[in-house]
Parts: sequence; structure tokens; C-alpha cells
Amino acid sequence: LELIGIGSMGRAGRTAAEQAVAEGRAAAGPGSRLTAEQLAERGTAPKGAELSFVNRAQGNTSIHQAIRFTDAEILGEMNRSAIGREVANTANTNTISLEFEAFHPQAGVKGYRIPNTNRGVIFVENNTEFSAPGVIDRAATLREVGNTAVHEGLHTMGIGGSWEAELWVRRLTFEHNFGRAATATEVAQMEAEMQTAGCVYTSLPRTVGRTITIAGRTISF
Amino acid sequence: MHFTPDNAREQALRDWESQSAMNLVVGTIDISLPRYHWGELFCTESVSCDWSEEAELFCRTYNLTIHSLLRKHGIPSWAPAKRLPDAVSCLNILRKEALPFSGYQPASKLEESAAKRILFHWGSERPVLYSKLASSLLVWGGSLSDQSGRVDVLDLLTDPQWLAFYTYPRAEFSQLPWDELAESLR
Repeated sequence: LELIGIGSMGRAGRTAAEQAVAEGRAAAGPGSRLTAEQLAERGTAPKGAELSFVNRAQGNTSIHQAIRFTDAEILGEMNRSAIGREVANTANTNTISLEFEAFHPQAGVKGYRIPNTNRGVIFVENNTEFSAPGVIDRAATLREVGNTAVHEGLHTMGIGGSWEAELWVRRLTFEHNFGRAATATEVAQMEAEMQTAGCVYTSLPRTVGRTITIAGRTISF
Repeated sequence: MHFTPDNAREQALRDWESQSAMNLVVGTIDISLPRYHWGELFCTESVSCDWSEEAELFCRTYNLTIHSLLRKHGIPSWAPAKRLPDAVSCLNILRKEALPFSGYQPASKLEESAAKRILFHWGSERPVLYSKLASSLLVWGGSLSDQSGRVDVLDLLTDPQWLAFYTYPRAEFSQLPWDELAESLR
């Protein structure tokens, strides 16, 4: 399992791999890493699988209690849609690594992908949503953390490097969030926002000629 | 973009000179929200959604160069943090010197596109009043479908930027500057 998370994982609804990792972590303590071989010896993981679980935010007092989410909560949030489920499953099968960190010092940064690796990083505290000034909306924050995980996960799965790729990631994340496809007007709004965001997107080529299948959908970018 | 420290320093000096200095970051930021983040002096912009040491060093060098200019010159009068009116000031602006939004004409294509992008967030509603200030700010206000008030603030000093939006629950703001005009337009 390559879902690197914060908080503790509940027992309910675990896959075999999640259970294996949870047991591995429980034996070794927070922040430690068990090799696939160690887990295989315990009979909790298939031999040869690359398993790791690092709970970087465990015990971190800088993260507000209200936005300390268990892995089960984050997985549950991601599993709300076929797209989010595919991203979570890709992490579960070690194809990508999703790493949930407590915060990034620059408040606006919600997450990023580390290129040439299979790692996507999500900054939990930077995804905080408020219901009123100073009042954290826990449910909305969890949803935002899930959205960012799906967004960065899709990038980490290989959708990147072009304007079309970024637009697809936004469209698919929208679908995950709202449970429906974006309308033509909403897609136009996404493009308008990308256009005014500066060179981060306008410097990208329109396409890189790649195709990928996500949740049964063929995406060309 | 070539992420070298030299390029970062040059861009910072250029941006300061053209009154468009920014707070640069690496990573995904929410581009559907205003570009100005509370607590910052300038608008935030990401140079890349992909983290790399080069991109990180580029941003640090750019931001440090801006900080050295701040130490030398102080916070410039054109910085968004200096010019952005607070929520109550926006209402006062719209009370004193506003025009009906129906007569609003963007001054450029860029302003038109920025206005359109921000008005998307109003759904089927539209502002009732607007005001263009000498400080190159555009402020507009009106009521949303739930009847709460909303004001948007755009910075027109350089490329039009969405600086902020404020909402005004009716429980706290029973009388808003545009209520009378909105009523007469019905």
C-alpha cells in the first residue's frame, strides 16, 4: 500500500492490503517502514509487494485536531466516485504513492506531484475549509483533502505535461467532487481560470500526444 | 521557464519595477479563488504544479529578492495588501460613489475576461452597483439568490486580478447599499 497518511486507520472496510499495512504499522510504530519481506513473513502481504506506510503527521501538534483525518476517512472520501476509487486503488497497489503531510509553510499550496517519481503530496492543513471565520468545517475540509488527493493522484498516474492534461485532471476531479460531468460552460470557466493563473499552465504545450485509461474512460492529452 | 536563480532575481526586479510583484510558490493552488491570500503582501502565483529543487530555489530567490526590496523601500503603495479595502469599507465605497452595474463597460479585453470569469460565481444573479476607484480598484456589489450580499474587488493596476470577495449575511447586514436600486429595478 502506498497511501501514506495521517491519523490512525479504522478496522472497518479495509482491504487485505490496507489491513496488512495497518498491522505492519501497529507492530513497528508510527513513522517506521516495514519492507515487503517483513510483512510477507508476518503473512500479511503478498511476497514481493512493495509496501510502506509512513505516518508523518502522527503526534504532530501543529495540525488542528479538527482536521486530523484517519486514513479510513480519507480513503472513504476518495472512494465516493469511480475516478477517486481508481486513484485510491492505484495507491493501494503500489503504483503510485500518495503522501499526506500536515502542512506546507506557504498557505496557498494544496499539494504537488514530484516529477520522475510516483509520488503525490497533499498538505492537509492547506486544504482547510471554514464555515465561518475561525470555524473549521471538518466535512468540507475532508472533501477538499479528497479532491486534492484525486487531483494530485491523477497527475501522479501520468496525466500531465500539457494544457489538455491539466484540464482533464480538473474535469475528472470535478466529476469526483460533484458526481457529474462538468458542463461546457464549467469547462470554459476552468480554461479561463487556467489562462489567468500565469505561466504555470500557459507555458504548457496543448497536448503531448499521450492516451491513458482512467475508470474505463480513455483520456487523450 | 528556466528555473535559475539569476532568472528569478531578474524577474523579481522587473516585477517590482512594473508594480506587479508576487508571492511565488511551487505546487497546486486554488485558481478558482481570488489571487490575493490574506496575510500576504502580494498576489500568489504558482510557477509549477510539479515540485523540483530548481523550481523551489527559483521561488525562494524571487521571494527573497522581493523581501530585500521591501527592506529597502518599505511596503509599496501599490501592494494589494495596502490597497485592498476591508468588507465594511467596500460597502461605504458603494454607498458614496457607485453607478448602476447595468452601465458597466470593461475598459479592455483583459478586464472583460476577468469580469466574466468572476461573474461566473454569481450564477444567474448580477451585481447592482459598481465603482471604479482612483486606486485602480473595481468594486461591485449585489445580492445573491439566497439574498446575502456579495462584493468583489478587482485590481486593475496591471493585468486585472481578482483580489477578494466578501459576503454579507442579512442577519448582520439588513440594509445594503444596493437594496434601494435593486428594488426600483424590479
